[in-house]
Amino acid sequence: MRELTKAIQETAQKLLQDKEVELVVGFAEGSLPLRNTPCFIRQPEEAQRLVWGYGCENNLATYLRKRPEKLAVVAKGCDSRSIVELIKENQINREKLVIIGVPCQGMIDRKKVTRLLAGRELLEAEVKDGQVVLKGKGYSEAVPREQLLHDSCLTCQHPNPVLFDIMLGEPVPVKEADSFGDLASFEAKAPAEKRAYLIQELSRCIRCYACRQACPMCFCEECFADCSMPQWLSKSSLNVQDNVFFQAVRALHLAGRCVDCGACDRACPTSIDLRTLTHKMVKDVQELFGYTAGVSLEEKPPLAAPLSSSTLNHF
Amino acid sequence: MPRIGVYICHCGENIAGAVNVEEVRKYAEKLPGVVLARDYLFMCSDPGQELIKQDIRNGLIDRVVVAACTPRTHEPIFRKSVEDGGLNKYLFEMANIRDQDSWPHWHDKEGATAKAKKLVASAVAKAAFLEPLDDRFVEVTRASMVVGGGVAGMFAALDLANMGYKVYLVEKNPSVGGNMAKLDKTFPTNDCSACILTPIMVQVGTHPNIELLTYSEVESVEGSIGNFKVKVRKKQTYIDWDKCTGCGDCVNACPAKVPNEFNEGMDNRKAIYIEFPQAVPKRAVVDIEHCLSCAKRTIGTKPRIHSKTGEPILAPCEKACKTGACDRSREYNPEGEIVELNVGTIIVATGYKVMDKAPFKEYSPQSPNVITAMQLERILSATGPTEGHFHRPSDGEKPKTIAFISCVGSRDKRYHTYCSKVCCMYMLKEARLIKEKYPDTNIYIFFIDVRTGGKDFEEYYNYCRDLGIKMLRGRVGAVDELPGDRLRVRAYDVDLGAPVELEADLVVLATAVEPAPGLEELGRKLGITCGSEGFLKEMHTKLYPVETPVKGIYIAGCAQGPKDIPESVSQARAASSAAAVPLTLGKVVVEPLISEVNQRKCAGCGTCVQLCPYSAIRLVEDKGRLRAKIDEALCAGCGVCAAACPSGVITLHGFTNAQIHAQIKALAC
Ligand SMILES: Cc1cc2nc3c(=O)[nH]c(=O)nc-3n(C[C@H](O)[C@H](O)[C@H](O)COP(=O)(O)OP(=O)(O)OC[C@H]3O[C@@H](n4cnc5c(N)ncnc54)[C@H](O)[C@@H]3O)c2cc1C
Ligand code: SF4
Ligand code: SF4
Ligand code: SF4
Ligand code: SF4
Ligand code: SF4
Repeated sequence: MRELTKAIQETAQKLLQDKEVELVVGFAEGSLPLRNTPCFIRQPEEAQRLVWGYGCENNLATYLRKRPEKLAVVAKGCDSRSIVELIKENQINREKLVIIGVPCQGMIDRKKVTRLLAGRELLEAEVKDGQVVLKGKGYSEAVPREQLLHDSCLTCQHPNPVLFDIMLGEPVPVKEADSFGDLASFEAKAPAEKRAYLIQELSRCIRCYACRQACPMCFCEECFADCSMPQWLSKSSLNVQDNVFFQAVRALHLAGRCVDCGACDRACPTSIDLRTLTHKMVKDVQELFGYTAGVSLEEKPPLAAPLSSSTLNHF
Repeated sequence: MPRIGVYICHCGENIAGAVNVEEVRKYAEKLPGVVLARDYLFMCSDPGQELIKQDIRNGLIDRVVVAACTPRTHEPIFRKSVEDGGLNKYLFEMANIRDQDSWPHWHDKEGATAKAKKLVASAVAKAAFLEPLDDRFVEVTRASMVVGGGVAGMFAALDLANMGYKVYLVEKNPSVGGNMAKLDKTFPTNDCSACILTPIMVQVGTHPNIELLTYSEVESVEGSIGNFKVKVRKKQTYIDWDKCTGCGDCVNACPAKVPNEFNEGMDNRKAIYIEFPQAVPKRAVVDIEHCLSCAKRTIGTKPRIHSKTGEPILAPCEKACKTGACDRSREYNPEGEIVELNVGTIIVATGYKVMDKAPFKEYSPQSPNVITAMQLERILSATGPTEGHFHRPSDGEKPKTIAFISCVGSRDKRYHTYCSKVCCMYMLKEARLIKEKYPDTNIYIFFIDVRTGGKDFEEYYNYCRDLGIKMLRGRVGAVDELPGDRLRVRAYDVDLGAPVELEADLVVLATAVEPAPGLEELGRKLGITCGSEGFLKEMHTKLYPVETPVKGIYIAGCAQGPKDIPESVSQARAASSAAAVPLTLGKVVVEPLISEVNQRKCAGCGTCVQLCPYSAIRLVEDKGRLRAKIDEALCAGCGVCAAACPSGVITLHGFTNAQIHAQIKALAC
């Protein structure tokens, strides 16, 4: 961790000093334990603010669209895959972007931590030898790291950046785990039960649209949810049917584009299970079209390309 | 508030026989926006159309809905009446209560009436949102391209050329001629195929209006009726065709042996070859994959110099060539050359290929004496591998007993469910040709049933029976190999109701006619589609048999489905006259039902650009941002982009969101 932080700082400083880029997007220390926050560095001397940690969960690709200046970004596996899709959709100019690739060890899910601490305040945390030591007033508890990682990190098949200009650190091994195992219980449900589950989850939606804003792939100039001519859905979150409709369309608009970074799921202030929907859609796209988003600059997303007989053969 | 007039047609009994027209009329009268609803026996008749015109002229209505038959045939007629009445002709909507209602629901009068109401309500709902649109005219490039130089393609090209239009004939093989060039004699008159085809090939080769592009394939097609921009890839022949005289000296000198496609793989050709003796253009090509590069003369290298004689060391082909056409120093360019063509119309006549025998394991395809009917054509032909001598492949003996097996791969769920149509006749023909020449040959034809529909065909069949050719009804289960190169055919004779066995010296499989390889791909480039059997789909089986859904593109011959030469030629000549219409008019009307991007809201993702089948969309820079822009002249109004745009910012005029929503809403209530 410390070496990576150092390498990121040095790389960023050099890129800024040599005027290769005007801006570096990365992570800084957060104000709470186990938290990091996106940060924008413009001066070489500010580069030491950059860090690498267990809270670098945000998908930084969100900040790269249609930037006028030349910039660099610190990208882990999922960021890099979003970048690939965004390049294909003309949202990022590859020539103006320097990708600093960082292999990702998995990020810690603070909701899991909160649940574990059951009300106790976290004052300090340390990650060592696969254990997370959580400390607070009158307690110190060690938990295996795997237990606290994000679900999306547990099933992630691309922790190493797929596209980069500079690679820092050593690639991490890729898990062989069945990356869709976590969907089994949802898929086993009957259609009515699935609907009931989604309605139950989305009854908590407050239509803050944080999920949409966090997603690097949601970049329509006018989202269908905001459109008034025609008005596709009501603007009020009290209409649960429309909340479900919103998420269903959002998921479909992301079919073949979603990289399963989990940003939407993390952004939701009411902890709605959004990932079941997006992850299921990622799985369907893979099964129907044999396509995984973000792994190739050449391959076109299946729903944005004419169907060829080879695609159709997947059916 | 729009004032909509609704006109319901009885279509004689076609609609009124199932739909209670008066009930629908009364219902329509009460729909929002409707000011009058009338019905009439035949709306498309003069008095029917007059009703519409009068109501417009009297200022009663400003939108028209006709509930009748199909817009495919009748929309233009009613649009014209609307225009004659004095309204913009796009303020018209049609509800199809015949094909989509009375016909399919003929035995459910109540249901049919209820559905008619829904269809009318939905058309009325859309009509309220119709906008006036203006027709566009496009200048037509007075030239045409024909793809495929078989008998169909050649006739299409000749007809257009004789009308005075420039024609580019694109053929993927080195010579024109297609499958007919391989045939020996042709039913129903048994005239020699080469004798009737060669003059046509020569005419095609020498016509001042025809530019032959053989050994070429279509690379890409852009644009639309009147202005297609076509890129054709001319494969490298490695011979200077301007100098080559087709003498064949190089061919004789070449030592390489390659299975000869023209003789269906039954003998060898050389690596440098002329496709067949009557080839047009008669020019040599080098099959670079199989060329041995004799004397180390790799294409594109300078010859080495002999240390003693000081002469350049040449390959045998070069040495033999007296004209200098064969010169291996020429540039190596497997990519070939791209030729750009501008044409107003396109005819696709890419024909067919016959199935190989290999998949039919039950018929012992490994035996050289089991051959396809096309191979038999070559054996019978004077230019074939045996120079017309009737030998069986294994040992050159003249076969005494021959069994023909019909429907191999046709009418068979495992391969093709369709009937290949020509096999019954060509089997009879081949059998007859053999029987007439060698009357002591025993010939058996195993049929499922004999299909000889066609002028003079039944007479042909009877003549064959009288000759002593034996027909057995029943599918052949297996062909076994026996010692002495003999074959045993095992079948079930339906008429006897018993299994039968037959020993034969030669077994001929009437393998199925399939679309030419790559047809689907070519179709995609052109924007036209293949049916489930893989042949090109016409626009309307009966009324528009040579048209396709893409205006300006026509089809002919076996590319559209299996057929014989008379039919292929008739269809070709029909296609050429259809393709000549826009060329003669010089300009075509293009419906304004095209798409438009709301640029302000476009995110520039480019999804639409990749998907547009007509390449009508480009991303243009606008204040540092990319936005999609649709070229009106190229857009065909297919609506793909409007459906695909994730931001929903594309409007397809004539099918706007507001119009479609209104329709759906009306259908839902
Ligand atoms: C064994 C057999 C015997 C027959 N005997 C008779 C008979 O006696 N009498 C009769 O009336 N009919 C007969 N037929 C049917 C007859 O062969 C066809 O009706 C006729 O050849 C069809 O002509 P066509 O031009 O449509 O196709 P084809 O002859 O197949 O010509 C198509 C041409 O297009 C070219 N092509 C294909 N794809 C492309 C491409 N992508 N780009 C450029 N060029 C391309 C091909 O190389 C070919 O030259 C017989 C058929 C068979 C199989
Ligand atoms: S939908 Fe969610 S998981 Fe998928 S790319 Fe967007 S933010 Fe990431
Ligand atoms: S982030 Fe959560 S609450 Fe906000 S709109 Fe999305 S699903 Fe609803
Ligand atoms: S020897 Fe020369 S002129 Fe004769 S066919 Fe060959 S290339 Fe053509
Ligand atoms: S409607 Fe859209 S996709 Fe279709 S031709 Fe026009 S621009 Fe292309
Ligand atoms: S698909 Fe829609 S948003 Fe994307 S470029 Fe085309 S018009 Fe613009």
